[in-house]
Amino acid sequence: MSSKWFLRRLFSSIAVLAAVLVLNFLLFRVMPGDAVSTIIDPSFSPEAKELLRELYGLDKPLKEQFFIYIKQMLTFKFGLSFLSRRPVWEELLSRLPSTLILMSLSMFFSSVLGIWLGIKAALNRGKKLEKLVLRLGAITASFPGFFVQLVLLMLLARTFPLFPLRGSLSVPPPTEATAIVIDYIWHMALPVISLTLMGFGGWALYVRNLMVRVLGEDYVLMARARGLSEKRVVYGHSFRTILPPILTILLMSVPGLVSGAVITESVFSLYGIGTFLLEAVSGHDYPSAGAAFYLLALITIISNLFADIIYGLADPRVRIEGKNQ
Amino acid sequence: MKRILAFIKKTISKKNTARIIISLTLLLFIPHYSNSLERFDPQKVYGPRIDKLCMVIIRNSDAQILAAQKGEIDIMGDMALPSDIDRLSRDPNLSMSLARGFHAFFLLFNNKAAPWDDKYVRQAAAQALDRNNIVRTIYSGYCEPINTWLPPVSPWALPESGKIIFDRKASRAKLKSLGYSWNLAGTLVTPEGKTIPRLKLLTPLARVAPTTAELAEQIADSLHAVGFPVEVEPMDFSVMISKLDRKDYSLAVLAWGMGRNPDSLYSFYHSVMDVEGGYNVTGANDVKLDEALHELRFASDKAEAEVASEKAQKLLSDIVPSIPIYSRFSVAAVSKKWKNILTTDKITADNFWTMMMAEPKDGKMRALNMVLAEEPRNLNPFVASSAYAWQVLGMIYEGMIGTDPFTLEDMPALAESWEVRTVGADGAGQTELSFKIKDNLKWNDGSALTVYDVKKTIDFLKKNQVPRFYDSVKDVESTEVSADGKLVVRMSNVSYWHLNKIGSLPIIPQKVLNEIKDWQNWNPLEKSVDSGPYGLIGSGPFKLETYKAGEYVMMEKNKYYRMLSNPKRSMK
Repeated sequence: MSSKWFLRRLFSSIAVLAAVLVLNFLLFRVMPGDAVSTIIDPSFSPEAKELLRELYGLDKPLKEQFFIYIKQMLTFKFGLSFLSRRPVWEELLSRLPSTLILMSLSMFFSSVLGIWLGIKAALNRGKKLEKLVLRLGAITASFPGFFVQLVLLMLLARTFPLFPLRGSLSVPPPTEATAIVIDYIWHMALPVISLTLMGFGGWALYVRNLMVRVLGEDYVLMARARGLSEKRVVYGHSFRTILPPILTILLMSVPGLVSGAVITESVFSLYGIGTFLLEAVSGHDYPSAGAAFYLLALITIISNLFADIIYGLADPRVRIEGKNQ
Repeated sequence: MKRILAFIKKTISKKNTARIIISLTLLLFIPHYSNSLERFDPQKVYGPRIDKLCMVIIRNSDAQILAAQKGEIDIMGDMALPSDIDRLSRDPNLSMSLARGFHAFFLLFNNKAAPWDDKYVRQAAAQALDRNNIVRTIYSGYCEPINTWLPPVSPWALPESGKIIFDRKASRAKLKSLGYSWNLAGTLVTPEGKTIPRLKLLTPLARVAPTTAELAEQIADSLHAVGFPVEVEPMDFSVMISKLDRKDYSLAVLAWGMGRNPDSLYSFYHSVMDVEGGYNVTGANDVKLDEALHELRFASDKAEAEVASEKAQKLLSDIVPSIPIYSRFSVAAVSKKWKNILTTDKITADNFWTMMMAEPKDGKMRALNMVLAEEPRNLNPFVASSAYAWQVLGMIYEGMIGTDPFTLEDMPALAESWEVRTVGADGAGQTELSFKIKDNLKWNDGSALTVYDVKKTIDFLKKNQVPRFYDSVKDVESTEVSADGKLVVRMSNVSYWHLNKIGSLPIIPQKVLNEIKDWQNWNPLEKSVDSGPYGLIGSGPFKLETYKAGEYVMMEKNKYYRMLSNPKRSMK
């Protein structure tokens, strides 16, 4: 990884970001209608609609709107949401903690569980354990998310009321700090469990396939012939070889941590970014949608860059090839 | 209620599935197991009797139902899916309340494009639609077929709103008399000998509005049966609206929420509203209708408005710019643990009066929990646009005129009495409204509410051209407090509807309005005083205690509320 390579990657990332910025503006404006045109209320006359359009800045020429938009994006001052008339930053920040906690916890649990089961399945080829992991993985990965979540909600929150039905806090909320934390964990448990259940299968199948291929390689046979312990052969040699693609997937999932899970947030009535994005797009809320997609693009590009760097750290071959280049 | 039950009974006797019988039978029992009250004088009610009202934010409808079944929610309103209503009807701990709604569903014709530019063709199409069958098969009876342009709950709707006009033979006969014929495939051929090309029926996507999409299919089938080659075209809602706006369509299905007054007919069918962003999406343009609608909008008093309303509705029945299909019933579920729940045939249990009078049956005071189906997001009354924000703000602010829950007629709220008169040259120049504000009114912080607060509110909204209230105040010419303490509002033209528009404005304290520098970006929760958020000082029955975004809105009883200490119960 030379500095030249890094600069080239950085430059291409900036170009991608610029393209995203332009597309973000154009695509929303190309969509038929705007935040005002879908109002169907006889007590809201065309004149009142025009006033609202003025308020949103939609009466300005497209060129002027574009420059305002670019300035907002580059200065990270995203303006006011059309729908809530609150600063977009404020809206995003108020929703971010819930989404980050939900998504990072479920990603952590589903990846750890999935990777562990994938390795176990690969080590037990042809045995019952492998078949069980393969079937479970296929089932959980293919079931529609909302269905699984509604079934869990009905079973574990209604029929056997172990978890709450909605939100991240009880109504009214507890007053003591410890009680608030416990209450929060209790509320987040079911959404995290549901996302973990739906997510681990994909990881398990992927890791199992990678491991099966690696375990058949000559260098693994060589490691075994050298009399190394099974743990060292599996984790020190085989698993390390498959780390780069796993890291890539993990890093590429980072934008998902922020964009949230629309369906999960809706089913469990959580106040997160997923529903915010959905409302922004369907309500033609240009400032909110523009800011959210810009930030997501930024995070994706940065994650991509990180993935490239970490790939090099995890796989010596990439470092060597980089130097040779 | 009697008409609803009669309709439901009629539906049962025709043809049915087991599901319809079960659900409708349950509905027949509603009056017996709901906690509804007999008629009383709403002015003699005292309340709120609960200390706290909690609006729990639950977006997902399945989660709402589970919460109601689990007892976490006491009142859940605005239920639309028959399957949801059936589920909650079976719960022994819940009562259901049912009322006629303001929602009306229409099939829209593009009156400017053939074949719908001929009113007789539109009349024939109207006769081809079997509304009863639609109501039975799609909505299991939880709505009523309509045949007028105002929802039947409106006191202004013509009585023949339920008249059945379905007659496929008559429809074909009418088309034949117009010179239409049918080709071998059964498609209509115009009097000029041209086969009618495929007619697209626009509908929102099935995943967004499943019942509407299904309804569109049924309408297409019905029109097909008389020879109209109709084809359903589902599309994104905003794309559909933009096509309607440009008149780039042949047929479309759309639901409208209509108010209690007939004034909305002007917006939907007067030719001056056939402009970009206007609501006359059918392109209706009829001189007589325009005249009647003009008379309706600019009527000087109620009697004149009644005559014009009837005339306009009768003309609409003849011109048929669109076809009214059905009006959905409003359905709400209420926990049986509460008493004094008000349900009439016009409003369901989730109403203002229930919030005023509800009490726990066991006498143990607790918060009344009701569902808020969306985030209110912004409680700035000048920019809050969603119904959910106004569900909260409607408990904090009051207008001068309220609505009687039994008749939907005007009743005093902050104003004790009012007068509407026409003044100016030859008595036909301007409407003058005068309001006598009640004595000893207080804001929820204990300070006095005076006529000057009302005047300031109207002046502020007028001066700042706040879009949400623009149509209400745009014709205000002057506001004055007369020597006898009445507020006199002079409008620049004559219209009986000015009374409702001005009378229903939420009144905000002048001390708060005086401090607002930028109403668009104003955050009413920014500054707090002992009584709560300074920006949300109101005169309504509740005040805001906490708004926890994504979770709940907790409201507390306004201890200075004007109806709090009335000791006389009026319930019979």
